[in-house]
Amino acid sequence: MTMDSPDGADEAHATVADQWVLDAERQLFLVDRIIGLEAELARVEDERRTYDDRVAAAEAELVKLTSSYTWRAGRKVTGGARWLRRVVSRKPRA
Amino acid sequence: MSVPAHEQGFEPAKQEPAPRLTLMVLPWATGQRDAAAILESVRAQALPGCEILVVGPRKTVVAAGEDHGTGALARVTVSDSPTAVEAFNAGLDAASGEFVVAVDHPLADAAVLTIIETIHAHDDLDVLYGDDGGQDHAGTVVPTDRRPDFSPERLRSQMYFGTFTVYRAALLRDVGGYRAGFPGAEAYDLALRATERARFVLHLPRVLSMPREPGGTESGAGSPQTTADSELRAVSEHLDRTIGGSAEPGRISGTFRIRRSLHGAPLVSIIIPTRGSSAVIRGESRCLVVEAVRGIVDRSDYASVEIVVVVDDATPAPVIEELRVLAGDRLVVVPWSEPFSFSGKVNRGVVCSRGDYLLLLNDDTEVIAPDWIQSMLAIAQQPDVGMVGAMLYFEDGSIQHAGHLYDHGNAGHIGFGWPHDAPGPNGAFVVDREVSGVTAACAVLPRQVYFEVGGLSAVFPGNYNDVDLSMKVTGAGYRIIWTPWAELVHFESKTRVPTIGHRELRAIRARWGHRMRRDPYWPDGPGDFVKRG
Repeated sequence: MTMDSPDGADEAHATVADQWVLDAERQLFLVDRIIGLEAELARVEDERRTYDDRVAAAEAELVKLTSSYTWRAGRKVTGGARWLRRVVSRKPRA
Repeated sequence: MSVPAHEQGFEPAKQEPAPRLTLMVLPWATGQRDAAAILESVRAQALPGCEILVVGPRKTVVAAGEDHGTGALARVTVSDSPTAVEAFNAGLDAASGEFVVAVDHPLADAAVLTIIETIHAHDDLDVLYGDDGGQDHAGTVVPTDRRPDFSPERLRSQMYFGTFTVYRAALLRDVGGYRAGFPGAEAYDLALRATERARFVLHLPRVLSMPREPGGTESGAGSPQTTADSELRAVSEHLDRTIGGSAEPGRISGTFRIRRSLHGAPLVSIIIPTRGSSAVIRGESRCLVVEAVRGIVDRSDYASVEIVVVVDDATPAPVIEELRVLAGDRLVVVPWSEPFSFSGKVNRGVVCSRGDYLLLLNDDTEVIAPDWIQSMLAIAQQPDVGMVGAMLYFEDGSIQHAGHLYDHGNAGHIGFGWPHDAPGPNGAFVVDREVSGVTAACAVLPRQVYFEVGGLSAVFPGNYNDVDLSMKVTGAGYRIIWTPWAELVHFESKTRVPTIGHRELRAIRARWGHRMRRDPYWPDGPGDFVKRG
């Protein structure tokens, strides 16, 4: 690989070692790779945090629901039916 | 005298005593803007650890108390015809709060609680501003003026804070409060002086104030020209204290052009990847890279440049010859024999360049403003600036690019398709401002920043490499600034169908999706002013 410029500088630029250019490009590549991996890690961590927040919010909502008057009243009302269902399901089948 | 705290619903985030906020109401200064409504909105809020100061001539402060039953208000009496400076500074002297805010307009619901909670959460907070709002037809509070996150570059060009700004009282006293000699622009002058010393300036993206009409506690008696002169003087003095340079009136009222001083004449390497292709421009078939280089040579008035053209093997030899004739010893031709990769070609050009500053440029561009390089370079020379972008127009004169916007996982061009002279929302197209990113079609970076962030990524050979570069630059702690004063034509077709690879789209979201949800510098979201890529 050579670089070309119009006058006497031609030669100076043209003698740039290929390896030097490739090394510099390799350096850019590796820095980018590390930053990219760190960014992906940060994104995954962010998503995990968001997921945890959602789970916590859902659990809190569930607790709120099960401790509500409506829920407890409903449990009382349907208590007999649920007891009967348990009994029936325990009965040996013919 | 302070107002008893209404504690209901308030749970301090920490155990130490709540910071005290002084709400200064200046019925004299607010004039017809209904001091009663302001006081009512203040008193309607939970006020943990706050005090309310009513500042003004004896008659007005007494009236404020009597009319509204605000016996718990503290009153600060000033002369019968006080100046804005006298009234504001008298209030500041009497304020016992750790933070102070002049309340010029009715507050939004829960504004005080929001502010107090924010103060609790940030020990180093010195300045806080929010958004303005109003009520829609259903009576719901909606934002009417959303502001960007702290943008010091924009603040030099425009007082974008609005009137409702909370300051740490000690900082205000350090800078001397309002200054005489800036009629109509006292608040702007104060914002500039305070932010110069502030440790942390925070934009709270919530509606805090509900203005009924523009204006604040500044002197209102002067003419618009007096205010404009005061603002210009405030900005000029700010420049003297900070980065140097000069200010001049901008394209629209209330905006300024900052002409920054260049430090020396560093070599700028202009990196142009090309295939030597031609296109029909203004009815004529032209070789794009030749015309781009011709524009740089003929129309740019910055001499210390090298033009690094990275050419595919397929580039016709006559094109390279013509470039040599045009650019002489400033031209460096770098061959590229590998498969297509825009990123790879730019990186190759960069490593083969010598300049302390890199100017990435597409070959389908044409210089308009002769001082385009200086305009971008002077900004890039500020130590915390990592990238500077330009105003790009389509061939028909309409705007192609006024910065990038990243929102909901998408990237877009701000200003796309808007008329050449459109000032944009709140003058956004005519002021230097912080942005989340800029296009690599024309961008300046310090060389050391380019290498620090790994240049353009090989992961994005064709698309999104500039989005990725911008993310890496801001992720490394640098600011990106877009300037309207570096103007070029970008001969990209307005109707071009974007050929975005799904792989690249997935890759950009995999890397930066978590930082592309809300754009801190374009708070209104895409709206009408952005074309998504």
